Amino acid sequence: MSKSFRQSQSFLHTWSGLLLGWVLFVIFVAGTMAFWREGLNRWMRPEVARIEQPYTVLAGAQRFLQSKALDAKGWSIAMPNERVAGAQVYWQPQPKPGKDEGRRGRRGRRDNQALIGADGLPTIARETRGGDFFYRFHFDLHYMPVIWARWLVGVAALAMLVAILSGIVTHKKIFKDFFTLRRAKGQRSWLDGHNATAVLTLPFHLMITYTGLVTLMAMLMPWAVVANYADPDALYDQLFPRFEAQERTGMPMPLTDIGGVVRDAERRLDGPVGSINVAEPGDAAATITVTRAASTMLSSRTPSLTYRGTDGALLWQSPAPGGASVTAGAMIGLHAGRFADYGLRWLYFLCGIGGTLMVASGLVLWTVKRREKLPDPERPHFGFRLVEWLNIAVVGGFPLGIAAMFWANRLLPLALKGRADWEILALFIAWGLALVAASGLRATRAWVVLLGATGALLATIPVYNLWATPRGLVATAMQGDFVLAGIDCALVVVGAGFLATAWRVASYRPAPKRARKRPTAAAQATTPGLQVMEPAE
Amino acid sequence: MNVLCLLSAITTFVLFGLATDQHHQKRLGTRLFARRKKILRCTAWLGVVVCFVLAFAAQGDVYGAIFWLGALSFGAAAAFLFLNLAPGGADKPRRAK
Repeated sequence: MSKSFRQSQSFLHTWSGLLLGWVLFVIFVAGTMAFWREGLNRWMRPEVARIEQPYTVLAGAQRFLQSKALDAKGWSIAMPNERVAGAQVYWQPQPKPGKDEGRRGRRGRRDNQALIGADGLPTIARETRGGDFFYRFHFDLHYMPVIWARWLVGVAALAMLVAILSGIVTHKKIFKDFFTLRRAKGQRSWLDGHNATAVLTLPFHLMITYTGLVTLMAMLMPWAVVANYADPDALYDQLFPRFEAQERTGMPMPLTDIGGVVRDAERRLDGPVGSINVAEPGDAAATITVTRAASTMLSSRTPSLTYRGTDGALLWQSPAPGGASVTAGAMIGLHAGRFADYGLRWLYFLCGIGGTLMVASGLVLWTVKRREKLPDPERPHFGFRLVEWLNIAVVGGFPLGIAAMFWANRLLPLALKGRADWEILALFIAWGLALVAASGLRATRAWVVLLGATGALLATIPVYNLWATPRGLVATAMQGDFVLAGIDCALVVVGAGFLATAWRVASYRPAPKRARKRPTAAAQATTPGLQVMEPAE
Repeated sequence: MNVLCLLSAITTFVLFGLATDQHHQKRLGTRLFARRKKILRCTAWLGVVVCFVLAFAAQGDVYGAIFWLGALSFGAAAAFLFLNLAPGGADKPRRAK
């Protein structure tokens, strides 16, 4: 391999990693947290008890919907299980004559939903987006149109894939340096840390980036769809086949027991059910569509069955998907990791942390490397100052925002109107303050303040949970609820990690510069690889 | 079985690490000669195979491959942290017997 090729790859690695690195960082952080989406949904609603009897809750959901929305157009029930925070139910009212039947806004859906608790009764829980916020944020971002966000995330993922592949080419001693960590060596240590976080979990980084692009493939590369389908709905119908909804007859008929239908579906589908949709409930034309849980299959495209609502007879089952559909579904499933049991989920989470550290260390390495070459380190050029400012504001600021959001979840009044939006606003206010701190303080001090504040906020939430909520660490551990206990423990560990990093930054004293001899032409000639650039150069 | 798989992955990568001059000398206090390096590497590769078998036995044929790669990454990270950050290790090299 020629030297110039490796150098060109090194250049590509540096700039593809840097230009969208800050977007990649927030995507990685939010995506890593989204592996515990359901756990965070429960953790952020501490008043909701863990579900022990799913069918009792399902029966309660049916009773509630029959009393509340018997004449609705449709119901949607998330199948309760021990992983979720109650059974979330939605209903869609009958469309008013002359009004558009199309998609309703988020507010409309918000007004037509309820949460059924572990006792089968509607429960009042704090309004929060919970872990769902991090899941949506990691590809839809926030405060911007979804389509723009997805394009931005898609381009960032492409840049990430380029950075990973060019990084592999650039890193010429990938296996020889596998276990190398030169500590307290400034730039070398940063380089080793960046390489270690990249190489040790390389299969995960490649998988998560490539499959992330697959989740957006129809948007990034629409030509196959455009060439083959004049009507985009036709593709949707082919990818996600469903039973054709029947018109409401106007003849009232009681709905069969949904629990019985679900039991039959679980037997036929050979796995637990994830969601239940009822069309035209309370009518002779009612149907119940049951879909298998994505948590029980690698593919995200799960099969479904439709039953007649009046007597529970099977009407339709989804056809076996084609090879391409299964491949796409498996890749999306691999990306989301919904199939993972708790052991595998921890591995996903730890690999996600590795990816986050890889992006963060790469961003910091850019400034560490160039700081030594600045003619006057007290007055760096604009580009250097901009990168350093963005590093502090994003790498230091976004985790602070998340910590602020968690505290807002605990401290905001339960009756506050738009409470869920206020929680998210708390994240962005804290992030904005971090941006101000990055602008007003010297770099070292700004890092210490932001990392220290994040660590303190994260590590103290479990202490607050101990006395202010019924789901403190001791209580959850005693109940064997290791998801909530694990989240509290993870907060303490991550918080301690931030505090330790802040302490290291505060106590760091750069070694005095030693005068370096200029290498002679002869020495240059005899030193192999002297001119070869290292990764992230 | 999951735990056994993770332990085999950690052991595997500790052996790979000890097959490097730097970590062998630091942890065992002896110089690494070619024969011992070969033995360590062969044993480590055997560990990769054992980890593969245990992963499929623990998670089945669909999830086994995913768990295997995850376990190897976990083992590599754990071995990396242990070899580089754990205190201890010999200062002066001794001759290998």
